[in-house]
Order: sequence, then structure tokens, then C-alpha cells
Amino acid sequence: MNGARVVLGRDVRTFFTNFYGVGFRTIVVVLETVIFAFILSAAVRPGAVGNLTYLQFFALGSIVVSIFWASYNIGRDVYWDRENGFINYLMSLPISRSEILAGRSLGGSLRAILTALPLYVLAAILVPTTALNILESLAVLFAFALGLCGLGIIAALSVRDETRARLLNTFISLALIRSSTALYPIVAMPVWLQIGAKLKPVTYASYSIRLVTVYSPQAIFPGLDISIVLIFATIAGMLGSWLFSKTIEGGPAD
Amino acid sequence: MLVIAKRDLYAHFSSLSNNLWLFMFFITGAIFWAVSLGRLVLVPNYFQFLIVGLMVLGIYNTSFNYMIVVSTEVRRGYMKYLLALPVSRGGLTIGRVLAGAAEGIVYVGILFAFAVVMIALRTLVGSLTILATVVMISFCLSSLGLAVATHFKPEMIDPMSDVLGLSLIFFSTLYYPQNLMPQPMRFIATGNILSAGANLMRAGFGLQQISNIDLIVLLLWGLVFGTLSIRGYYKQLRELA
Repeated sequence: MNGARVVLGRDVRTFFTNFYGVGFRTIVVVLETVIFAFILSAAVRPGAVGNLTYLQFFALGSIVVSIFWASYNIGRDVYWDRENGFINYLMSLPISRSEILAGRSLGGSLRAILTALPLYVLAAILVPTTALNILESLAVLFAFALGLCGLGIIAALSVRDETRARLLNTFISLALIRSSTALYPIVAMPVWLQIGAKLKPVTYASYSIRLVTVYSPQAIFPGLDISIVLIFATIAGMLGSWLFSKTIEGGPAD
Repeated sequence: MLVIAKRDLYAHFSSLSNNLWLFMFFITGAIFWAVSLGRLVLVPNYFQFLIVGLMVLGIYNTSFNYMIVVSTEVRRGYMKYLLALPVSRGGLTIGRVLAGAAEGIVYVGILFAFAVVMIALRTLVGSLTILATVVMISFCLSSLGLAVATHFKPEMIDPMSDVLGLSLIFFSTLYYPQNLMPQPMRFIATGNILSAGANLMRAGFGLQQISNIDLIVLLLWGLVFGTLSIRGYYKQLRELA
């Protein structure tokens, strides 16, 4: 797995080379939490977000949004690498195709977790929790990020034209995030949107993170939500892997 | 002047991906975000309130971000080609301000049709108020963008515009009414150009009373930013020439 480690290291370094872009996005999410959610908290219907305040609800959901952007963008990197021929260079190295794919997915997930850490610190201040709960939710987020890397790779390899690729990515990102429970609870949605939200993996990742973060031995463990996140990660990862080996020159993986 | 404005307008709307991105941002914001938040909070007519806020955000995204075109031209040296054209420096300067404003106006025209279906216009005066506000705010934001692009060093343009943009958006009434804000924030929001634009447009839709303060804020900032942008761009052209 040495090859995967090399690819992973490169992807994480490349991502944080654009430190300004990553930092700016994080600042925007922090401001959304401490200003937007803080102000709206005072006007939210009582009980609409369960035992949490809207500020706490939003702070935990914004971590999922941040994870989404950072990991899903691995697809954009794969697209660029294919367009400028870097992928051919990677293929010429003594690294197997499955190692390249594993490296990319793990790299995408790791950078997503690193990006979300400052937001997690903010959330941990706003929502009292335990170290074990934090570790568990980070594990769930890592699995979710793996699935998003797979989804990003599927989107990137499904389209050849750059304009279409950008539009597809924008559409998937906006539709998945804005029609999920990452930023507002399902009870606030109209019925048609509730049905849509229940089909989105982002919804289950958001449920899982919120429930795991406030988990206590007396509460019910969100096993079903976590299982759905894991199923999504497995299916998206496998589909991404299959499409990668099918699309990239050289035939099936290994 | 019109040649420059037309050239920039065509260039902007020829980029299908950028325009569709902006449009999708608004549509998903309206049908997912505004619908859900409208049912979540106890603010009356919050859905309509947010739709208008998103429209003003759309103007900001087009008119203010027009500065990217200008700053890129300065960085890459294309400005020299523009100077070689048989267009006066004054005409070139005014043309740039108008181009940015026109981009915002045309773009919001598309959103406006969508907003009318969702909110419904009540009076002719209301429609005229909205139209006049869109023109004024587009001009203000285009001028502000140009002022930033011409008054700062190239390496400072992006950070400055981002800081300015975030301050304008989060300390305004785009997303939340002023009465929900903490006291010091209310004061800042009163003098915020985006708040003034959004409040006047809401008044046009009949969602709130029209306020003279908003009108004065918009006119004052228009005057300040207009002067700064024209002076800055003209000075830059003179130095290059």
C-alpha cells in the first residue's frame, strides 16, 4: 500500500496548497454558524429541532457540509488529472490502479476531516459532548467522506465536457446539500421535500453526527442511520472504483 | 462607452456555466432553503423575505464580482489593448461601471420573473420601486467592485473583496430581519448598502413600509462608490497610457 500512501499524501498536500481557498470556505461556514444560525435561533419555532437549539443543530450540520465540499472535490481533481494527462503519468509509475484509487479516496476523506476539524472545535464548544462521541462521529464522517469521494469520481468520469462537468458537480452539490437535513430539520420541510430528503445520504450523515455527538448511554444509538451511511459509502466507493478502472485507459484494475 | 459596456455584457452572458451556476444557486436556494426556513422560523412572510434577499445576493454575485474581469485585465496587461481603441478614457471608465451594473440588472431580471410568480406584485408603484432599486444597487455594487479593483495592490484585491463581501452579506438584512439582530449589528445593518437595497425591494413587493433612510443610504453609497471607482479607473488608465 506504499503507492496508495504516496497518492494520498499528494492529494492532501495539493488541496492545502490552496490554503486561501480552504481557509475562506471555512471562515464562511464559521460565519454562517456564529451569525446566521445564532440570529435565526431566536426565531425558530420551539421544539422544531428536538432537544437542540437551532445554533447547535446548524453547527453540527455545517460539519457535514464542509466534509461534503472537501471530499466531493476529489472528483474535480480526477477530472483535471485526466484532462491534463497527469493520470497517464500516475499509471506509468509502479503503482497498481487499485492503489491509485485507494490513495485518492483516502486522501479525499482525510483532507475533508482535516478541513472540518476547526468546525468541529466550534461545534464541541456549542454542543457539550464526550471525547468518545467525538471520535465516533469522526469515524462516521470519514466513512461518509469515502462515499462522497466515490460519488465525486463517478460524476467526474461520467462527463467529458468541462462545462457539463462543472454544472453537474454544482447541481449535485447544491441539490444534495440543500434538500437534506444538514441545515434545517425535516419537520420544517414540505412533504415533497421530506420524501426527497429521506433519499439523500447527506440526511443520514447529518442525523448520525447529531445523534452520536449528543449520545448518552440512556439514548438510542443511531444504528440505522450509520448503517445507511456505510451502505452509501460501500456502493459509491465500489461504483467509483469500477468506473475508474473501466474509463481510464488500460482496462480493468489489476 | 456603449461599445465597452456591450462587449463586457456579451462576454459575461456567453459563459453558460457561470450563469447557470448563479441561476441554480438561486433556484435551489428558493425551492429548498427558503421554503424550509420559511416554515421553521416565526418571522411573518419569511419565505418571501428570503426570496428578495436571494435576489439582492444575485445582484451582488454579478455586479460586484465584475471586478474580477477588471482586475484580471490589469494583471494580464489587456488594459493596454483597450487603451489602443478609439475610445476616450472617460468613455472607457463609464463603460466599465455601466457594464457591471447592466450584468446585475439583466441577471436579476431572470430572477425577478421567478420572484413575481412566488410573491406576486401588488402595484405599479411597487414595480417601479423594485426596478429603480435594482438599477441603483447594481450601479453601487459595480462601482464598489471597480473601486476595490483599482485602489488596492493586485495581491490584496482578492482578500479585500472577500472580507468586504462577507461583511456586507452577514451584516445586512438579506437573511434575517433587523429586529432579530443584536443592537450593534442593527446599527451597521442600517448603513449597509445590501440592507438598503433589500429593504426597498421588499417595500416594492409590499412586504414592508418604504423607508427614506434606505433610499438615502443607497444614494449616498452610490455617490461615494461611483466617485471612487471612476477616479480609480481613470487614474489607472492615465498611468498606463
